[in-house]
Amino acid sequence: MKIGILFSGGKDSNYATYIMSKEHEVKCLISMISKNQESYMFQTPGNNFIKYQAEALNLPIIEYKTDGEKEEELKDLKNAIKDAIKIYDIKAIATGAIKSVYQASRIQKICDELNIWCFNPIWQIDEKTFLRKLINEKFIISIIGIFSYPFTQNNLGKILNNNLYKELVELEKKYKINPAGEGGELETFVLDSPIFKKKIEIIKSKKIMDSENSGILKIEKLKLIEK
Amino acid sequence: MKKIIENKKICTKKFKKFSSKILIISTCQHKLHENEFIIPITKLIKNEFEIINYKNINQNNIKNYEKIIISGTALKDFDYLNYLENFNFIKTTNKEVLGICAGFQIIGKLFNCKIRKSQEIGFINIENFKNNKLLIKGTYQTYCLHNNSLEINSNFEILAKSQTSTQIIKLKNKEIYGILFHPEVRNNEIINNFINN
Repeated sequence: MKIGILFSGGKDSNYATYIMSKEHEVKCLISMISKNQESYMFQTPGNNFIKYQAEALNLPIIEYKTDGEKEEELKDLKNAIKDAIKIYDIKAIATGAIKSVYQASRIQKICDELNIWCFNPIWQIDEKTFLRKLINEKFIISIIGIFSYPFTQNNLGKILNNNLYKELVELEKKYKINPAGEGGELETFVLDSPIFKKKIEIIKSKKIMDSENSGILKIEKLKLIEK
Repeated sequence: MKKIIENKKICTKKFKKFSSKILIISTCQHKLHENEFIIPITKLIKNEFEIINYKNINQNNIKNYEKIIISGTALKDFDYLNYLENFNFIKTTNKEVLGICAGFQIIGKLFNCKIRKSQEIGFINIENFKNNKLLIKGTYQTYCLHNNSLEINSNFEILAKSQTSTQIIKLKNKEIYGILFHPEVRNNEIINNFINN
């Protein structure tokens, strides 16, 4: 089946892309660029650089700007998916939704209205199992946003590896955070995956903090390198 | 699918002491929908279990199991309705059966309920009228994903309802249950109660 991936550049949608590509024909990525930093639906900090991931995956990308207002961004998403149907003849959307019923049910409704299939291949996945899979399958994932206690600017730019995994599991025990950031604690940006044809290197970035426990790694320059 | 096989292996090894073997019947036409509709169920099951697809059911693979769970599937997926005869064993079985969403529709169809249009997607509140094997009396927030429900006939007892649909049914005099919402997403205790009670 021809699939479009609802793609944010983070670990969830990248892993969904990886799983879907094993059994289906992934035709395009669909990315909503939200002007609202607190978008209800879409990740924001890595937005400007998603196109590099598309290039690394050798997939076309539909980037669709949205104001990020609650119901308006759903209309924009529907229009973006309509474009993907028109241009790439996709018959299904896949998402990286894990826990959010808010997000998943709205996308289900849009797919229903457009009469296409909807896949959520990591729906309800256990977070720790998921993080282990990402490490074992050699995804390179950078933390580019932290939005809650006990995370600090020291976490920004960290790469998910066995040590960070242990740290996240400890923080889960101690502070009840979601170790995969599903509660909105973390945003991630994928630098390499098993299906990337090239990998990404961040050349220049800076940390911008709103408060002690909230901030982003603003990527300013990156490049694609051969694998 | 590899993942499911791995799960099965783990369960067989770790939980041999549990007597009740569970069969999960997948109603998914597309394999990757099993990630969404089957794997979340398997995460809740500590017993030994096996998964078979609706197209491959036969008497031999049913007899080894004490309890049967029929899964849900994607909103656009109705292919299982073309294989209803594969589920005919439910009409005469003494095994305990729990049908979720598509499984709810299958159980209703087998006992002559009509399918009717009724879309509920997202969080839906339901009223569970009395204590039963699956759930104690009360109001629950459930996760729904369906375009159809059933016109329930007198073969069934209605255990729970939302504003617009019947949500939990029980076949009279048998331990055969249908649930329209998805207990593998919210209200996980239903699956535990079905298996352990």
